[in-house]
Amino acid sequence: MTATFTPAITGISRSSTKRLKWGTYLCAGGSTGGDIDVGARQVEFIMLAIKASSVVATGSSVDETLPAAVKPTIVTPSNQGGYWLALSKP
Amino acid sequence: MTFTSAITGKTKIGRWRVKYGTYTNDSGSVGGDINTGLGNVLAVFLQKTGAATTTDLPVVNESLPHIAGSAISIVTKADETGLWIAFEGQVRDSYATADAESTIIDVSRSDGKIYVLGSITEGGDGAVALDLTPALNKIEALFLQPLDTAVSSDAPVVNETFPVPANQSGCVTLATVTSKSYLFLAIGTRGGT
Repeated sequence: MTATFTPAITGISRSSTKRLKWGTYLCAGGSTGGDIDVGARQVEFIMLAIKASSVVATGSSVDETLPAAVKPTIVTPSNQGGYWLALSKP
Repeated sequence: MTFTSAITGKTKIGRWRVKYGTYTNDSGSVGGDINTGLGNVLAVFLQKTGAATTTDLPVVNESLPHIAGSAISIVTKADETGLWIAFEGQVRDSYATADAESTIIDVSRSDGKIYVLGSITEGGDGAVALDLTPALNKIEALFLQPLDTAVSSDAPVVNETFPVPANQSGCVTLATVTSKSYLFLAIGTRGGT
């Protein structure tokens, strides 16, 4: 089975000076993360939440030095899914 | 051992001032105080960075809300780097929720969305049926931050597929560590039924 990482944008809004976007990510086939395309020129902040039916022992990480990334790379346990929230320049 | 933090951005979400930045531990440091540059801080969320996952989640070692933003104590794994985001505001919209395990700290509105900051103290069964009505009745995203004095060996999770639920009731199920406390940030709308 091919490892796949599937992110999606499910919401968008604006603050006074930034664009906020949020969405989902899903790792399958043994995937342990990938790049989230938040549709922004520069991501200034991103945080993650895990989707599962019970607490998990391993949390995800953002493998970037922010602010800088256009498509932040996240690292997760195998086959984990979850949610992300990003702030970026408009 | 050194702990440093930096502010890398700021904005306003409705009534809330928001600042975010980075933290860095080195030489064995396991946390310290983040100077958020804010006054009355309502909530702080942390996100570990780096190339590896973690079994020791960073925690906020404070009794939020309403603490001075100049020194927000966090506890991390040794030499961990990460991101933080802090929310400041004067509370106008705080109340206990119907689920008996959570309290809404404050609500702010921006660009058609409703943002809800709250706190949770899990009651003993490891699960929380978070009920955010009447603040929200369509939840689009939710993020959790453990509050503790030591790193967390278990990560709380969201047991829902957003937006939830289809009938636009503002309830969401969480799995948490028994009797632990958390902050949450929920984003959503008040749609019709």
